[in-house]
Amino acid sequence: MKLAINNIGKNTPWIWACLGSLICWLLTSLLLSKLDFQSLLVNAALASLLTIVSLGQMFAMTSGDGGIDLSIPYTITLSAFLSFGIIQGSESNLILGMSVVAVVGIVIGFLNAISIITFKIPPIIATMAIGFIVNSGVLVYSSSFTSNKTSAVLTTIANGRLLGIPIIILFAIALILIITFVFEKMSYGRAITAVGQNRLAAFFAGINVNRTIMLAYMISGLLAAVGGALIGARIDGAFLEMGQSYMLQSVGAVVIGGTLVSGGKASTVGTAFGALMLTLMVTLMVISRLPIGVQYIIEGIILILVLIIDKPHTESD
Amino acid sequence: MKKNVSRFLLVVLAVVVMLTIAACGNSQQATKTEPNAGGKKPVIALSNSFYGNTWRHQMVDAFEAAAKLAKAEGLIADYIILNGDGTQQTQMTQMNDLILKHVDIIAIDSFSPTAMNGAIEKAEKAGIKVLSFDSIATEKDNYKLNFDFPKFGKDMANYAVQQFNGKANVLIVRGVAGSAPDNDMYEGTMEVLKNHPDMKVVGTVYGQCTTSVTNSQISSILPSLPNVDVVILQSGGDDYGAVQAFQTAGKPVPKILANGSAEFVKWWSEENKKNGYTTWGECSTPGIGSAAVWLSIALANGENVPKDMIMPFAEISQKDLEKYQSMQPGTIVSPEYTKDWVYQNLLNKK
Repeated sequence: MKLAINNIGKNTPWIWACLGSLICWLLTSLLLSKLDFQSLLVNAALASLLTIVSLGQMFAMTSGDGGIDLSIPYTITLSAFLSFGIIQGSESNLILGMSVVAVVGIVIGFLNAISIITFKIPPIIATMAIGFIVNSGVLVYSSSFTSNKTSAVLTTIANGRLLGIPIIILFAIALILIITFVFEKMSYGRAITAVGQNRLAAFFAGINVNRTIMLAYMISGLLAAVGGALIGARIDGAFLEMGQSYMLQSVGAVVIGGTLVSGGKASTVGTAFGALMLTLMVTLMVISRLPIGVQYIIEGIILILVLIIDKPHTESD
Repeated sequence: MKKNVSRFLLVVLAVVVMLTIAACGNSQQATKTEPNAGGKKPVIALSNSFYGNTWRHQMVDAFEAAAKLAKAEGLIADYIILNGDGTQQTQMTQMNDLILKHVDIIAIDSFSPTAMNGAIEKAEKAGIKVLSFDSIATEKDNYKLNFDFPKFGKDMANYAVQQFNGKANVLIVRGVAGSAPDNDMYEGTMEVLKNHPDMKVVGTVYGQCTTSVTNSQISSILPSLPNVDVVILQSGGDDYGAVQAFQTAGKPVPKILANGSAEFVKWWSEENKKNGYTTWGECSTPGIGSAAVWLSIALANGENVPKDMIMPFAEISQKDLEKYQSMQPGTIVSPEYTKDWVYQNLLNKK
């Protein structure tokens, strides 16, 4: 029986996060005594924003050796400010604005990678330090900040609906498909998986280890930057500390989704379901009307349970 | 070769760090010490524990503006502003620094109610008077200028009750879970609401005083809520996060109590012109920084200052909507409090 359970998740590590999401949604529906698809859609839309930045986190974590990107929240905030500051409500500035945002995100990723690869600083410290520097940039930039309009295109992607489905969900699904393709079919996907599992072996296999790691952090920076511009568009403004809640949530979504913390195994679909589960869980807790302390305890217990169930097949690999 | 590259990168990184520090230096520590011309005029100092959010930025700006004015009027010899990074150690260092400089008054926005008590005592032993404000310190001899948070919660609830004749569906957005202001405001609100059984709380979320969190928390439960008539919130920025949540969901925006964010005030004004939307609100204003300056000067001059003072909230109503339209995005309504105002409302209040 145990063996059977182990096999369920073997090739589909996302199944547990998917089941968890389903359970959270069913429990919410039970509390409301109706199957609420609208609530599922709205939560999926919120989870989509989290998915975008979490997929970047997934690249950083998959690169192994304690890989993690803690500069994500600061990149989100900075790119929200930049997108508003440059676009200023004019569609003709959209391409310029998004290019700057993308370049800034990639540069932040590059600086993270340099600190980790060249100076051999552990990722958790290196990305935090770069994050602080980025945050100083936010403080300086925001003090002379005057724009309160972003592009209508970004607002439509973040808030609009197509045939009743939030566009941001479609955007996230497209991203998931691309990244799944990268991991399944492209040499870079194989390379980062190999690097995450064993750097020395990857090196002897002829993989450019440093370049692979560097790309992972640059992708993480880029996705955080794109996510930041969209999160800004969603709340129609750039605010200090607006990215803060994405620091732990992005790590949470990745880990719940079945990606290995130690690196070398990524689950793109799992990350999306991890984000969905985290979002639905918070909704469930809020609707349950339990005291906030109890909510936090239950959230913690659910997370630990998911990780315990998730564990056997990761060990049997 | 590789070594050279890494050395070069190290130099680049060092330059970047230095430039960043230089860029932040202007705002992080504005120490303007000039020769003390008058000889007897006081030096006042601000020790601010945290400088990472808009509210604190505005508070420091308000302090600096008032202090500049006071200096120009010859009321003080100089002022010192020290901003911290949100840690206890940094503020300890600030306090020691100010004690060594032997300023006359320290106004402190404290790290926590108790963490700075020792440092404050030390300053007082050195003959420096201390005024804690906003985030006050409980040390017994320091002067305290506090917001009345339970009253804030009550005011909000009372307005909602009065607007809807005691019958409405209420959505409550709380602040930072576990923080004292959140608790005080929430209890104030509930104290009023419990006397009005038809005021039905249909949902409670924690917005963590962050626009993006407020937005996603409200969005996530909105489909499952009955019709919401009024939203009670705590902190600037949350008001606009709530507006966006309702608009994204394609629902009519209910009466959202204003918390003073520039975005909300602007939206309210536009909506009012379109369809007559109106609301009301209050905010714990960063303008408290300017009040702290005038109180510090009064303390330095040995005037009779009460140990415990209550800072009123800035009211935001339809009639003064226009004067807030030029606010910088991301900021919160922050009236400047003049010396006269401080004497009338804080010092001579019986």
